[in-house]
Amino acid sequence: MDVFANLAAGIAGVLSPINLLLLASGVLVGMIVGVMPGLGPSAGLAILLPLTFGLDPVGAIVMLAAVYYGAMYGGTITSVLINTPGESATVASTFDGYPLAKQGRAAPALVIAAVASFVAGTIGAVLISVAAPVTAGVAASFGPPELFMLVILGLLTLIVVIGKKRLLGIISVLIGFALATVGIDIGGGQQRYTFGSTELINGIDFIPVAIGVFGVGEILWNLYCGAHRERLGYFDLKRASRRFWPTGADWVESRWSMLRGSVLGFFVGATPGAGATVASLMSYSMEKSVSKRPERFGKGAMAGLAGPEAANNAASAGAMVPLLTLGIPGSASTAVLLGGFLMWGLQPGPLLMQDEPDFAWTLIGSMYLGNVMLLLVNIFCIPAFAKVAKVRFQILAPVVIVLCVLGTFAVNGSIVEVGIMLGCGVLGFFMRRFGLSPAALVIALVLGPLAEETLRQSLIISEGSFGVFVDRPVSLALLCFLPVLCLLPIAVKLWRRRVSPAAVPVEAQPTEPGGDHEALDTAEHETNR
Amino acid sequence: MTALTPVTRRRWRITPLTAFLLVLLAVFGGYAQMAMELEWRTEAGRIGPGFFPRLIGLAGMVLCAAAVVRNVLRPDTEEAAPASRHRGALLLVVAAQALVLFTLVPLGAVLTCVAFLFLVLELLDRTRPLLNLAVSVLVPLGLYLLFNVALGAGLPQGPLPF
Repeated sequence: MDVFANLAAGIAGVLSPINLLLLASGVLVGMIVGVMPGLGPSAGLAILLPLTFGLDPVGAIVMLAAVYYGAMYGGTITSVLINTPGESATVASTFDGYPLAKQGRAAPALVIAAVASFVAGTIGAVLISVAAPVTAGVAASFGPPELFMLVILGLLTLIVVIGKKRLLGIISVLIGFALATVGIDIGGGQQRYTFGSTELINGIDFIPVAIGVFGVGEILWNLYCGAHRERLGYFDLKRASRRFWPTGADWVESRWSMLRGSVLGFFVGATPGAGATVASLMSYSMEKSVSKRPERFGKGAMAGLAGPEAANNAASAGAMVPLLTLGIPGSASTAVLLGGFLMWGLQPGPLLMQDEPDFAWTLIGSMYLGNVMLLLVNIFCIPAFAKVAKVRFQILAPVVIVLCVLGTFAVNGSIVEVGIMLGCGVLGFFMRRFGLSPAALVIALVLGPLAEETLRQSLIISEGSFGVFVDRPVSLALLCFLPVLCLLPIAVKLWRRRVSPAAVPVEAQPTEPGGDHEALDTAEHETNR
Repeated sequence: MTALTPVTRRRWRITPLTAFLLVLLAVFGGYAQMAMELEWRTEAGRIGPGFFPRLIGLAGMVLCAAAVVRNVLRPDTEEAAPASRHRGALLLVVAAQALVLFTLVPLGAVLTCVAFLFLVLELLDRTRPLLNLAVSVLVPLGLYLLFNVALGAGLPQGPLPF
């Protein structure tokens, strides 16, 4: 009963005019960010973070969460219309979405994708309402050793899903950890790596790094790839057309795909380190394997669009579970959200739902209303958002850089932080260029202080003995899971070898050629982007 | 004998990734060196401020060295190079960003951003100077209003009265 009462209070909390306005504007801005070429949810969230300063914490987080799931859907529009996924999680949406657009069915495809997002978002919100208090209840008994093991597990999962370039993934994590050690040592008060700068005594703030790595880094990478020279093929949409709405057969074909994708996506998304990209690709493979007509996949099967789209959005809701209850971000976007939480003095973790129940339940409540708003905005504004996709990159790129510069300066009025942001932008470019993982860096930067603090506390508890990780049952169980996680890639490789003919259509790949495995690996690797 | 030489040369080629990893190796080396100057353990027997940095620095050096060796032996496996590369545009935009960093405070947010936007827009597309000018003026003014007036952020003014 507590869950229902809390949820009702949370929904009531969102129903204030200002929060509804923030929710609506968050969904709209998120959609625009998702549709814009070269900007994904994590970049959009990082850039927009400074714009929420004047708001109260609840309103700000409600708005940022709306930006998050709005951007997740926005990426689908470009996947379907121009075969260019706005971010890695919508790579799977290109496999059948673009062939549908080529058949003149772009509008029905986008309507089905919008409904799939709504169904998945709502199922995700229901599941998070149940899972979050349970997980928080379990996690409340966790001590420093268990939290340390969880941090390590989360980072290890992230590295495992990176794909082929795990070594570079671990190096990315270490760069993030190294940046996190700058500033005063929380244990003894000694300065580390400050080089005498007073600006660095409090450490390197998360916001300039996130804005630089995700925002400026992405823009520089797209410039290097020649996005300013590209002329993209584009399918136009007219809502007055009779062919705008899906047919009965489309609904019949995609209804179970949506449900399967929603449940699968939620649980994959709730796993720290895994995320929407993995969920959507798994959903695509699953839909193809259960379909009676798998040969239609890659040629315009509505189920091949509805399943991954549902999985991708449910995973976004699922990723909120470890964020809210353990304080561990499962993806780059939730790492930025965590940065926002910390900025407003809220510490996500097992005690958040006890100490700040109004905040936590208002956020969960906003997901229900946000999904309704997202559906309405999607269906009635699809043609308008499709036009946003036409904004030329040569205009977008410098505007985004200016927004990043002013946004970073606005946080603390510090020109040093602007320098750090621009430096991290260049670092983000090189990381993309050479296959390192910007997401792993940012997540490690957020989790670094937590890892150091929990390790320190664990060793204080045990008087310096590392046996504390074996003596406690939960910590031991988590420790035993580490080798399982390390062996997972080998198991997945064997599994892929068995199901490879049913994986991903070669002709629909938006990335490099090279067969099914390479498409999956590339998309997994794109998780970091 | 002569046929073997080019094969050997190709196998040991230093790629841009190798160079990048060598830079990272040097950075981690410097980081680890500084970590060695910090205490590993405190006098009370607790882990000191150098504990975590030493682990990070040493692990970073080992992994970067391993990645360098792997890349030198198999140079074609690690590159994520795009089909077309636009180094000129990239370098000019990075240089323009550096100028922004040094002019933001003395010139103020509006003037700096107007100049940066016009420069980069002209660099990327010279066919629409009027559109570029309009974007260069309107976007900084809009952002100034948003940050300074709506959010009260206090952007640098420079010589302008606002």
